[in-house]
Amino acid sequence: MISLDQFNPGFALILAGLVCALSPWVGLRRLMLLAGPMASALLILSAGFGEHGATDALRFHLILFRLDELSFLFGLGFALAALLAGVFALHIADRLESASGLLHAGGAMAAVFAGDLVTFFLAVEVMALVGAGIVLAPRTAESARATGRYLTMQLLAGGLLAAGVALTAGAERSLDFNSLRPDSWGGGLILLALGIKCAFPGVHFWLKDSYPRASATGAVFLAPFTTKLAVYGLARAFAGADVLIWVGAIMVIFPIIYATVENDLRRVLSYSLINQLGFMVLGIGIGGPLGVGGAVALAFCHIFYKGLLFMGVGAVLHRTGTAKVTELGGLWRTMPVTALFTIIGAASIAAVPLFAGFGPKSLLTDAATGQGLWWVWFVLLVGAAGVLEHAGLKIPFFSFFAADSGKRPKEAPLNMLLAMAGSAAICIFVGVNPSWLYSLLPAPVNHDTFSVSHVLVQLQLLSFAALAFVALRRFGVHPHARDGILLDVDWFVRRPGRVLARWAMRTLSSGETALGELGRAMSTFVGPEGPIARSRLWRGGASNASAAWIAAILAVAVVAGLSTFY
Amino acid sequence: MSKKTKKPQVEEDDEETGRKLFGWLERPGATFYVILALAAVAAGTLFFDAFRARSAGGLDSLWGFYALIGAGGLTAAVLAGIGLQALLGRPLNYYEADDDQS
Repeated sequence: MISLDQFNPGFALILAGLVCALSPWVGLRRLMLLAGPMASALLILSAGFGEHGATDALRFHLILFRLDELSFLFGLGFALAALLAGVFALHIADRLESASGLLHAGGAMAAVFAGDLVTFFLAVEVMALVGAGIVLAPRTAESARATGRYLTMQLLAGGLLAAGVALTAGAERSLDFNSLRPDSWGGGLILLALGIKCAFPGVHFWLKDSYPRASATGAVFLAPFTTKLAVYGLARAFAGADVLIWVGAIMVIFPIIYATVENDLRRVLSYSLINQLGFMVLGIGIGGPLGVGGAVALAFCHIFYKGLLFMGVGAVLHRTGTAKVTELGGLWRTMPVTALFTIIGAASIAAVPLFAGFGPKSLLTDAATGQGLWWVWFVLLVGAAGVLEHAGLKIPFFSFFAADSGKRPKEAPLNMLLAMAGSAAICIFVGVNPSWLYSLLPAPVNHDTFSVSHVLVQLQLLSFAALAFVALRRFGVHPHARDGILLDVDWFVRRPGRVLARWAMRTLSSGETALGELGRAMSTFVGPEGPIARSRLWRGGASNASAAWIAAILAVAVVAGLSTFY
Repeated sequence: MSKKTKKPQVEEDDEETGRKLFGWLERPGATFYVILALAAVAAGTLFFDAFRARSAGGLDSLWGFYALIGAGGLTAAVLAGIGLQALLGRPLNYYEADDDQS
């Protein structure tokens, strides 16, 4: 019989999500939003470090629950994030969104505690697939199309992960999920799969496309899990991989430029998320206790301060129906508490001393200088100035303090305020006591975060950046927000990619070979007249057809992978 | 005589909290004093920068280096953003025609 301490804490969230999915009672679903995360947190805190829940299934030796320093910190962060997101979503009656949110969080947590590559893969796929339910939940045409694109990318990552797991297992004769070589075929594919989920440059567009399409509460469920799980995977398997330094550096810089002129604040936050992931990827690439420790500590803090910012902007969206710079301003008059919490989130992401981001970012800059990586250090500094512009100043300023929009919405509902208060309290606690966080890191870190030098240089950088912001606005150089879109890499998918996909579908369906037969069968199923396209739930057109195609490829990859292993 | 509408109590409470927390922003010269405070902090960091421990020979050993990076980095990001908007900015319905066909 399996005792409770053998139980992967993610399963508690998945169970709560399933109850939510099946329950017709709103009250029970709301109870699950609180009970699931609390149960998972208790399971984490009550288990000892080590491997639990080992089992033999499908001829694999699976370790369903491994608790060590790295998984503990991510798992604890996920449990708290799920609880805060649950509180934030308590007013929601939508079964699809509540259930998907809990299942998404559960899948992420189950993956963090997976001790082998097969369990990791399965949990990651659960998380990715149910995440589509969150994006879809608003049930608008836009969200349905974004769901298709989200699924396409997640399933592509799933296929790569499956193939990578199979090749690694075949080559190493082991399913252990630990350090992997990025220059091996298996390791390379796993790195690529994690890269898609971590929004590496070029494959980042799914994030800025799907998160702003989710509801105000859905985005709060989406923000902490997928990308931080990818960071966890990178930290576990690819610490010290040089390629991550370059990838991280690009991720730090390019989203800043997009975020500066973006009008939709939730898209600003999505670009900002990619920028912050860049700091983490860069730290993992630097490696060593300071680099990996800084990345892991930043991931933990980021779960809360980015969650807080999504909550603040989500509360504004909930009350005003918009999150656009051009339609907001002056909301401090009637949403002052939301404004205050958003400022705390903004101070944390901008790494103001005594707020959550400061300690981890100090670790990262010291990691870079400690290894003589001066160009990396320079990128981190420029990145810090950019973060202040788009997340530290733009979000609170244009929502709450810029020219009065005349809107006088009510303050956010009590449950939303409580969730924001909890997130803000964690941001301040970790900001004031970074040593508490350092003591939980995988490798011990002895760091004098509040040295005069650290505090002084950070204050100097931030205060002069803020003065530059004031001057640019004063002299009319700061760009006026415009309602529109900015082309990104998704143009290739949404324009030439669409034409290519249609051509491929037509060609495949017209052949007289076995492939043609398969193509026709698939087209019947996923084509414009097929059951998927006609179903009310999945109405998303060609992008959903692509998603179904990739699902088929994923299934083939899994079967091929398993047969390779044996 | 027009009928007077009474605001709900909750909204009045929200506005009262707003006045308590941020009402000072509406006083004359408030923006000026906020900028003045910011400038004072910036000047203070610049003054104490002269006494900071420095790494030998590194770029950061220059006095005011971080001020330059802060102001320069933010300005560069904003200017790059303006260029990006001019180059890649499109109307909101740019993809809609394609999406409707699918």
